Amino acid sequence: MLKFWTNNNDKASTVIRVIRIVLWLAPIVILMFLLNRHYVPFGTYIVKYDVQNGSPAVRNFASKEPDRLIGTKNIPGETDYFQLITMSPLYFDVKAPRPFAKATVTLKYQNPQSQEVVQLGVQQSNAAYAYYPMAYANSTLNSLGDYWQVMQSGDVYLWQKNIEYFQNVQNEKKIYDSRKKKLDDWKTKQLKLATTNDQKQTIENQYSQELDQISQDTQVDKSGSVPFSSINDFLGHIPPREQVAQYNYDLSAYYELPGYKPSKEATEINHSLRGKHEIYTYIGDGESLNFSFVVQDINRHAGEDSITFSVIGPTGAILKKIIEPDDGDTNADGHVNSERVVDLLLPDLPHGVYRIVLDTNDDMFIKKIVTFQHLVMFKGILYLTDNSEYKSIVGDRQFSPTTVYTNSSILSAYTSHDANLQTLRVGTRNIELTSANELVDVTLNQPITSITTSKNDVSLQGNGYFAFTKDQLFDPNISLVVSVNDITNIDDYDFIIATYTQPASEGDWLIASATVEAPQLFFDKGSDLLAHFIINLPNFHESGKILKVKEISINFEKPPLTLSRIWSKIIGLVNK
Amino acid sequence: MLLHSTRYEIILRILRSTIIEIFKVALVTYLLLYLLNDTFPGFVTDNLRIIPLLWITLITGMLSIWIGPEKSTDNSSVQQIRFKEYIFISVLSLASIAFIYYRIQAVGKLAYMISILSGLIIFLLSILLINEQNNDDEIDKV
Repeated sequence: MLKFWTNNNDKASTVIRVIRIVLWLAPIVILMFLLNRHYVPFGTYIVKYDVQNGSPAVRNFASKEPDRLIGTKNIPGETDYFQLITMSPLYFDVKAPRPFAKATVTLKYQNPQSQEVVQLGVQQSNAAYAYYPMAYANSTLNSLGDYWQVMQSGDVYLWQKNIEYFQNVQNEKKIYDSRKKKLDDWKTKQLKLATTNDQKQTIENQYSQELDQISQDTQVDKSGSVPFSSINDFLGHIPPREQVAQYNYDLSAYYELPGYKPSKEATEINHSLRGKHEIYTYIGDGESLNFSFVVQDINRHAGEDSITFSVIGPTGAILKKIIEPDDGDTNADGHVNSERVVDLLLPDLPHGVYRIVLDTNDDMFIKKIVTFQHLVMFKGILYLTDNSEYKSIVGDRQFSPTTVYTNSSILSAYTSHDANLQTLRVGTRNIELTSANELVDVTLNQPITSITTSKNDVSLQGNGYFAFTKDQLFDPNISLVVSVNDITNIDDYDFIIATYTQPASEGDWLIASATVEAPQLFFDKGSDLLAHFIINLPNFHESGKILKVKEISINFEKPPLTLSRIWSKIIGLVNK
Repeated sequence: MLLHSTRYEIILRILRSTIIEIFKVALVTYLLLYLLNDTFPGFVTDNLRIIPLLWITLITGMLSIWIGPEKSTDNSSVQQIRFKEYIFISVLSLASIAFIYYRIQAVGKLAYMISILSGLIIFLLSILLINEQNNDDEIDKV
C-alpha cells in the first residue's frame, strides 16, 4: 500500500513537472510570436480587420458618410455583421512594424445594387492616390445575350457575337413578337366579350397555353461559330474599329491612321495666336514628336504670365511637361520683352494621336510654330491675332486675311475690339460680327468648312478642330474604340474586349483583391509607420447605392530574411 | 475505497498545482507584456489582446486563494528555497529600481531617490511576506 502511494506520488510529481514546463513555455512562445510579428523574418505580415472586432493595426476605418450610418448593422434574424457604406471613399490606415515591398488588399463585401467599379487607392508621398481595380460589375456585360461567346485570359475577357445564331435569334424574335401581338389582340377582344369569371379564366388559360406554344415554336438552337479562337488571335487580326467595343482596354496601339506617311519637311505656322490652345497631332511608329514654339508676353494684365507645355500620349499619360516662366514683368504696363523659343522633342514614339496642351492666359502670344509633324490641328479654340491692335508684339508683320478650316458643326466667333468688327466668310456665307465681345453662332453643314477673316483679332470656337490647311486635319478618334458605357445597343457590335476584374464568391459574400507594390506602396513615417488606403467607389454616392463591407485583410510581403541577407546586412553595417 | 480516495487526492494535487502554476505564468506573462508594451508602444497590443490574459490571471488567482497553497513534500529543500527567494527578491527590486528610474528620469535628480526608495520598499515588503509565510508554515507543523 505504501509502495502504491509512493509510486503514484512520484508519477503525480512528474505530471506536475511536465505541466509546469508546458505552461512556462507559453510566454516564450508568445514572445517568439511577437518578435516574428515585429521583425517579420519570413517576409509575410497579415493584418485582418473585421467590422465586428476590428484590428489593433487598422486605424481610422471610416467613410465620409453621416455618423448615423457608421457602425455594424445587424438585420433581425441574421447574425452576420457588416458595415453599411453609403459614401465613397472608405478610408483605412494600416500600421506596419516596418516598410514592405508589396501589399495585397482583400475586401469581403456585398454589392446589392451593382456598384460598377470598386478600386483600391493607396496614398503616395505627394498625398495623391494611385488606384488599382479590385472588381467591376458592368450591367451591360453582365446581361449579354447567349449569342455572345466569351473567352478569358486572366482579367481580360473577349466576347464574340455568334452572328449566325444572333440572326436566327433576331428572326425568331420578330416572329415571336408578331404572333404574341396577334394573341394579345385576340385576348383583349375575347375578354371584352366574356361575361362571367369562368369565361375570363378559360381565356386566360388558353392565352397562357398559346404563349407557351409560341415560345416553343420560336426557340432557336445554337448554331454557327465565332471567328477567333483566342484573345491573342483576336489581337493579331484585329477587326475594323466599327465592329469593336471595349471596357477598360486600350486598343489604341492596334489602330493606325490609314495611309499615313511621316513628313520630310518642316511645317511652319506663321500665324500669331493668343492664350490657351490645344494641339492635336498624329505620330507614326518610331517617329519623333518635334515642335518648336516662339512665345512672347504682352503684359497687358497684372500678374505672372507663364506658359505650360504638356505632351499627352495616346493613353492619356503626360509624356513631357515644360513650364516657361513669366518674362519677369508682372505689371500691366504693356511692355513687351524679347521672344522666347521652347522646343519639344520626344524621339521614337509609338504610333497614335498625341496632344500638346499650351496652358496660359491671354497675355501670352504664340507667335510661330515650326514642326516636323504635318497633321496639326487645334481643338475647340483658335484665337487669331495678326492685327495692328497687337502691333507692339506682332511688330511689322503683314496683316493679311487668314483662312482656316474646321470640321466643326457649330461655330462661334467674336472679336474684342470695336475697330475690328468684320465680316467672316464661313463656307459660302458671310457672317457679320457687329458688336465687340458678342459671340455669333453659326451652324455648319459641310464636313470641312473654310473660314476667312479679313482683319484677324478674332476668337473662333467650335465643337471640332481647326487647321491652317485642309490636309492638316485628320480623324483624332482613329485609334479610339468606343466604350461599352457609351453604347446604346451593344448588339450593334460584333466584339467586346474588356479588362474585367471579377470578384470571387464566398457564400453570400464577394471577395475582391488588388496588389500594390513599391514605390506606389508608400509608408508614412510619423510616430507610427502607416500605409494610407482607400476603397474608392466612383459615382457611388451620386447614384445612391450601398455597399456592405464585412472584412478587409492586408497581406504585406517583403523578401524573407535569409542567411545571405543577414550576412550582407552585417557587411553593410561594418562598411558604414 | 482507500485506493479510490488516494487517487482522488493525487488528481486534486495535480489540479491544484496546475491552477497555481497557470496563475503564476499568467501573472508573469501579463506583467511582462504590459512592460514591453509600455516600453515599446504597440509592440504587444498591435498583435495581441492582453485583456483575456488579465481575466485568466484574476480567475486563477482567486481559485489559488480558494484552494490554498501547495503543500511541499520536500522539507529538506526549505533552506534552499529561502535562499533562492532572497536572490529573486533582490533581482526584482533592482529591476524595479531600473524600470522606475527609466520611466521618471525626466523629473531630474529626484528620480534617483524615488526609484531607490521604491526598490527598497519592494525588497522589505517581500521579506515581510516570506517571513509571514514561513511563520504560518511552522504554526501548521505544530
